[in-house]
Amino acid sequence: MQMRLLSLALLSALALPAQAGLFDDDEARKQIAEVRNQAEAKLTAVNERVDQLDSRSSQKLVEITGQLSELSQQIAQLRGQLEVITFNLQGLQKRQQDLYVDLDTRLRNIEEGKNKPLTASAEAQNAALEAEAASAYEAAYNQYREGKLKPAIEALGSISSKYATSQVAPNALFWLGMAQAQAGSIAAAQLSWRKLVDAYPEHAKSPDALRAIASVQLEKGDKKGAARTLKELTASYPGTEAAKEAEKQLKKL
Amino acid sequence: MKKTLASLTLVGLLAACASTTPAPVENKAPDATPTPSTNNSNTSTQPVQPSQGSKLDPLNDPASMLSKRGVYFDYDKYDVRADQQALVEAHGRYLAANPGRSVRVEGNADERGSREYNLALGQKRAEAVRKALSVVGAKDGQIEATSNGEEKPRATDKDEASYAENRRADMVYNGE
Amino acid sequence: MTCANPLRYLATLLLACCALSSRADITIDVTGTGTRQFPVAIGTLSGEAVLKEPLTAIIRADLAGSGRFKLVETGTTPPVESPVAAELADWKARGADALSSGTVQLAADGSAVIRLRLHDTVTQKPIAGFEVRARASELRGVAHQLADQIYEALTGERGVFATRIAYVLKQGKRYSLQVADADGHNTQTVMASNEPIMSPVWSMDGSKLAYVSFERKKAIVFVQDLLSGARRPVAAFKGSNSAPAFSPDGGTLAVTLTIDGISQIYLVDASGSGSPRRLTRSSAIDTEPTFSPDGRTIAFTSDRGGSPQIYTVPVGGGEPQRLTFDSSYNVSPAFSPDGKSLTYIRRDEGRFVVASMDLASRQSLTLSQGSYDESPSFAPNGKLILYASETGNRGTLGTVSSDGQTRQRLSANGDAREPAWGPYIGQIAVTRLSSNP
Repeated sequence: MQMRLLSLALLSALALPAQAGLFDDDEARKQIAEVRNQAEAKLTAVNERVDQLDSRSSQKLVEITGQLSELSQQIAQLRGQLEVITFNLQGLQKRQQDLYVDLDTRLRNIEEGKNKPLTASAEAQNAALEAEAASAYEAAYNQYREGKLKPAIEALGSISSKYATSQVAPNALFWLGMAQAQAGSIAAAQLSWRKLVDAYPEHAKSPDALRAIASVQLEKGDKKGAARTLKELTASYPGTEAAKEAEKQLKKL
Repeated sequence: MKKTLASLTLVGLLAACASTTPAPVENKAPDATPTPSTNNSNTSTQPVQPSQGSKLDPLNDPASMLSKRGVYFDYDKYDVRADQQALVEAHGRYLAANPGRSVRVEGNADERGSREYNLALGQKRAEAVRKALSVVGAKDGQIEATSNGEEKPRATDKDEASYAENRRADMVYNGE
Repeated sequence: MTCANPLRYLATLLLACCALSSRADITIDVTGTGTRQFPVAIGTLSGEAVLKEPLTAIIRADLAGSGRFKLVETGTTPPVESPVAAELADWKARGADALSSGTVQLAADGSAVIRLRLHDTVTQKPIAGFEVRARASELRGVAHQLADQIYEALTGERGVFATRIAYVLKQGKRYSLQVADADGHNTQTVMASNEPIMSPVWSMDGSKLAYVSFERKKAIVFVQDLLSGARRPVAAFKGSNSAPAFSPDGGTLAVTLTIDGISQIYLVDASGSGSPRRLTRSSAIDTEPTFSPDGRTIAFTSDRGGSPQIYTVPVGGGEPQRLTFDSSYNVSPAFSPDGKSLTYIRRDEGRFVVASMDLASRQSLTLSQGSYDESPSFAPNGKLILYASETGNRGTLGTVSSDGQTRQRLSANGDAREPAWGPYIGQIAVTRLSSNP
């Protein structure tokens, strides 16, 4: 198109002097103006077309940029899903591992003959004994709470020996100690609590028993003994409420 | 490329005629009263060339798309949406044609959540506009993308209309 | 407990240069209390009437505001400094397990010598005694220090009443950066502007604040020395500069820059010299960096996974690890002083609340109840978290104990936001008295 325009312009430029004789100046100017107008109209058209092409390609570019942003957002979302799945998988793997270790330990115990599974009749016997111990304990504990120290000491003492394997035995020992202490038999109380700690070291009442021992020692003025007991408590039962209290007490001693 | 060729032709033509025609060179840009000779047909694209003769800067001409400066975004979206592309493109072409002008793109975010994260979200919107301006031809040195985060909300109500108004990037030209 | 004191005159100087300082900008309101409160009687210090600061009232307000104590009514008559057993038994009968008593004496140079003793009313034995000498301008700080001593003697934990907090206050169209005592009183304007201010953070030694200011029409990070007031831009690159965090040694700042397009985390020299070193490399937003107390790890917010979550990355660089999975919006991380836990903002069913996570077990805990809670930071003892919340379209500051049990609200005149709890700072020397007066 540009070529055509150029030749048109050249043509008109060359034609001018040759036709000078035929047309007067006005006519010549008119024709030139006409040619120029035509040329310019075409030029404008060309520019518009170029603009449109430009515009279309930049529209495409803007669109593509938008699509890129959309894509990276989608990639991010996929990445997020992957992160969550990996996290959940790690959690599951850990739980599975824990379960396996637990199961393995239990199986090994059975193989080695520990915790022999009970026969049905033994189990029933056990349950009956447990129930008997529980009701005896409840009665004895109520006596203690009502301040009937003597019968309480007797009953709690017999429970702790008669039902030594029952679940209430350690509790009975603890309250036996408390009743003895309140009745003034400090030495007996200490013995009961010590028995509890030695026989049932895992029981929740054991750290409390140590604290109780320490407090009666303090009451007697045996600071050294109390400190020793409290240290035993913090070392054996770290993190328990009793150990925290013991630490505070130790600071004051 | 084509454009350069076309204007070269124009120069050649005018030079050829200059000796014989004292008529003044006409301005290609549309005037307030366009001459009948330039039969300016139905052009869809906005004029983006600097107006040499006209008094009104197209940036401030209410009739020009360039007078609009706000680019709006969808919720949780950070790409220039379809109905905003023409506006961004017009500004990009204006900047390409006016290398002396520069612009700061200020991103905004609605007010929910962390201020710093919202600053980054506003920046992400400004950055999307910056990229779009540069693909159209604006030079990197002409554009700075910044963010106001949730710090300069235009709408302060706590409703969807306000949030939508604040999901916006503004183009602020130097000297404005 | 006597410590050397590099910043001893900080408060004084700030007071002297800041005409804007006002005493009652913030009032405290304890909105929730823990289950067990220790009953204590804080006797009026004998002879304090001559001082311009009501020491006893400040100590009482501190202890009551902590939510850990129940104040027993004492009347205005000061108890004697060393009460006899019968008097202590009387205090026990009135419900107090401990009693504080003491005296104020004016020295020849106009400074005050304050003595305070703490007694156990149950064992009827002295717990501790303190003596401190202070000038008029130091009285408020000294009252907070004495409250800290009582707090520590009775709870076994270090107190934070004598520390400082920073926050941004918006009043009308005016923004200002404020520093105040932990109780919100004794405020000083560090910087004021008509353009927004964001994200103040303390240097570990408490001598500097870094913050974001829009005073040049875009976000730029400044560091300001609190003693001299001198400030300079430390990150003013093309685009936005924000989210500053000091390294524990104070030499480096982690910041969010946009010089490579999208917001990423960079390390810059705290002096503002040198060129930034890019720490994270993602095609998503990485921002809100914060250093672990040992300076080895940076926690930050990133939406590389499609939603904003908290990640950690070694300061030397490396692959970031995602920490949070409990919500689709977890932002604004801050480490506890022991580095064992992290506090952050979590979106729960459309509400933004303060949460904390134990880093070893990854167990998290919701701590606040607001709907628009923001920018949490730990107190230097790790027992409290300061955060911004919104009530009636106005920003307020609040604290919550790290177990979520006790909540406290500090309300300011204006719109308070972006709080940051400062570190322990040098204090006036307190002498411990022997238990036998």
